[in-house]
Amino acid sequence: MQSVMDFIIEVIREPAIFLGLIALTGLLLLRKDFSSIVSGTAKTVIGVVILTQGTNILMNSIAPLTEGFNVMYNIDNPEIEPVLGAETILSEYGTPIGLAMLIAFSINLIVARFTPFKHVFLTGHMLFWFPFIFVAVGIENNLNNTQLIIFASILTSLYIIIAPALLRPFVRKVTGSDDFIIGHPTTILSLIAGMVGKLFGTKGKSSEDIKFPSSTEFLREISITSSIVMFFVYIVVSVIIGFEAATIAFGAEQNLFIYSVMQGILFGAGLTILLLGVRMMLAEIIPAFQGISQKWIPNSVPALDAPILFPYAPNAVLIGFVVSMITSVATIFMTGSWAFSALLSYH
Amino acid sequence: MTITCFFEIGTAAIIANGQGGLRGAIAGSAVAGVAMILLVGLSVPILSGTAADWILIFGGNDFSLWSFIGDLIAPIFSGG
Repeated sequence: MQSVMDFIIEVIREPAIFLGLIALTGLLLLRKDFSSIVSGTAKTVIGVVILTQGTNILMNSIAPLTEGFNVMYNIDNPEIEPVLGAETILSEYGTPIGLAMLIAFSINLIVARFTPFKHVFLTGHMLFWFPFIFVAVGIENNLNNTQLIIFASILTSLYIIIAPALLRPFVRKVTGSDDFIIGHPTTILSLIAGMVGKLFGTKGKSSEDIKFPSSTEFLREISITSSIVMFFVYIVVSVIIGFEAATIAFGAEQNLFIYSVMQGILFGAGLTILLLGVRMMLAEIIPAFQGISQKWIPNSVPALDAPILFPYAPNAVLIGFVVSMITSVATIFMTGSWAFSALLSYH
Repeated sequence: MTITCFFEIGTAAIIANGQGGLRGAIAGSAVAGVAMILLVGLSVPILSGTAADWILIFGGNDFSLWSFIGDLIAPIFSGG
C-alpha cells in the first residue's frame, strides 16, 4: 500500500509524466485515433521536458547573482539552521505530506466536478510543496500526526481551489481566452501587481508594443534582448561590489567580462528553450484537456505552471525581473536592521 | 529570491501589463518586489524551527502568505 502511494506521488511530482498522463486521458476520452493519441501524449511529455530544461538553464544563469547580492549586503554565509530543516521534514514526514497531497488533489477534482470552481490544479510539483509547507506550519503548532494530515489536506485543497480562481480574471485579460489558468505560488504577487498596474497603468501601450528604430529592431527578438539585459545585470552588480569581489562571488573562472557575456547569453538561450517547450506543450495539452472537460468534469480548465504565460508578453517578464530585483534590494537596505537583511540575504 | 524575481514577478508583470500596459507592468513589478521581501519577513519567524531555510530560498510568494494563514488557523486543529 505504502509503495503504491509512493509511486502515485512520484508520478504527480514529475511534471512531464503527470501532464503526459493527463493528455493521454483526455485524448482517450475524445476517442482519438491511435496515432493522434501517441503524438499528443508524446509531444506533451517532450514539451514539458524542454520547458524544464529551459528552466534549469535559466536558474544556472541567475544563481551566481545571489552570491553577488550577499556581498552587496555585506554578509558572509548567513547561517539559518532551524532545528528540523527542510531536509529532515522531507525525510521524516514524507507520508503525511504525500497523503495530504493526494487527498487535496481528490478534493480539487470533486469540487471542480460539482461546484462553480471549475479548474483542475495540474502543477504537480506545487501540489507537493504546499502540503510540505503546511506540515511545517503544523509542526510549529504542535499538531500530532493525524492532525497534521487533516490540517495540511484542508489547507492545500483550499489553496489549490481559491488561488487559481482569484487570478483567473487577470489571466483571461492576458490570454484573451479561458483555455487555461495559472496554478502557481505567484498568485499573491500577481494580484498585487495586477491591481497596482490597473491603478497606475495606461490602457493603450503594452510592454510588447515598444517601438524600436529600424537600426535597433533586433531588440524585438527576445533571445537577444534577454541576453543583453542579463549581461548588464552582471556588469552592474560587478561594478557595485567591485570586480575582484564579483569574480570570487560568481565563481567566475573566466575574465569577468567574458563571464558576464556568457551568463547573459546562457540566460537568453534558456529563455528561448523555455518558450519553445511552453508552446509545444500548450499546443497539445489544451486540446487534449477538452476530453476531460467534456466527459468527466464539465467546463473545467487546467491550472498550469506560471511560465505558460511567458509567450504572451516576454518583454514584461524581463521588466518584472529587473524592476523587482531593484526594488527588493532597495527594500532590504531600507528595512535596515542587519538581522533582517541577514535573514533575507539567503536568497 | 532572484529566482522568485524571475518566475513569480515575471508572471506578475505579464498580469500587470494586461491591466495597465507598460507603465502598469513597471509599477506592478516595483511593488511586487517590495511585497516579496515583506512576505519573506512575515513567514520566516513562523517557520523558525522547521522550514525557515527553505522559505528563505523559495518564499516571498504564496508559500509565505499561506504559512501565515495556516499559522493563524492551525490552533483550531490541535483540538484545544
